Amino acid sequence: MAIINQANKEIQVKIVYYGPAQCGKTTNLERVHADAETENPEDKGKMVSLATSSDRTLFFDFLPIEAMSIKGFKTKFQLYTVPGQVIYNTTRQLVLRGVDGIVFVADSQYDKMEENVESFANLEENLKTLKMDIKDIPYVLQYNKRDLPNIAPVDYMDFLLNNRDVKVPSFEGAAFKGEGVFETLNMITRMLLHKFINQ
Amino acid sequence: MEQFPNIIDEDYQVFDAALKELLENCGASTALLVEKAGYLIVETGEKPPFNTTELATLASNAFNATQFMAERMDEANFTSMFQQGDKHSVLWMNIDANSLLVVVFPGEVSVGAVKMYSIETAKKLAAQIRIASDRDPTGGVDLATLDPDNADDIFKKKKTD
Repeated sequence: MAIINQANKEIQVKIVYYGPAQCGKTTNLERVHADAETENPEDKGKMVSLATSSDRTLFFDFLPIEAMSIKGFKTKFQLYTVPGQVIYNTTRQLVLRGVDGIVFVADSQYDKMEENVESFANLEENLKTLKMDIKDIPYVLQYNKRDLPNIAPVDYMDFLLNNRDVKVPSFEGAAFKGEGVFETLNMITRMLLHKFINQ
Repeated sequence: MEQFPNIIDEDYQVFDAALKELLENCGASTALLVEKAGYLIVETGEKPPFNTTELATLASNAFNATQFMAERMDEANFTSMFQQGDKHSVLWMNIDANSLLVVVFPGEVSVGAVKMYSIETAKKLAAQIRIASDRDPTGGVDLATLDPDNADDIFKKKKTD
């Protein structure tokens, strides 16, 4: 739930990157941190990564970033990733608290499809646990790792992950190279702004 | 889930005054009003040698983890947490379902005094949050004239040479 602080003229929004283990959630944030153009250097905070010694996300990654101002309000985005490994489900519920928008990152490799589907089902379950419904939360899909061999066609990934009555925007990505990262982020941002206007 | 309300100047002044009073009463150095999804709402006190936005996020997630523990242990609530350090100590105090008070104080200050005053401060903050929640909802921000379809440049990628 976004925070609107009229005293300080700030809007704060939480976006969570979700998906199976090692699909590229952390890489997305790293690319945003490295490549985002901001008006001032302090608009982009440090990326906080609570990870294991082998760089697997343990608790979450967090990147605070201020975007262009909207109607005189500073717009501060809090970008989070969740740990993807199955055992960290409680942590994923924690991080989803108060989420405004979701980027679901899927691994495009054929042998990861089952994990993608399970992770999406896990997302829906965790939202229910938090008394939220995926139908009420803006989300987008990123089909990551399009640069690797043995990847599934986008149509197939849409069939598996985007086959609801209302399809959500999906983007091809190769986050390691920075491809698709900003397109995805700008789309979820646009969807959130639509939601705020219509509320 | 009820959400943290939109806040206006009047709320901010009350929060700031309550936090300042807390710092004066117990000798703490910094006090933060934090929303439990990880947002820093108000910060008062000395500019600390660490990033308070990060601290707010880490503090809220750590506190949320203990609430999960409380549920598993069938505890009604763990309402506070404390960490004793050499240079800094930190007290977390629950305010309400959505917000948290985080107090940073010098290592040599007694947690007892900080906790006692923090309980009172949490009540004042909770009362003002309730006032903000009950306020006329049409007093919010009018975003109706935004053009979200031109949002492609909200986040821009740095040009590389």
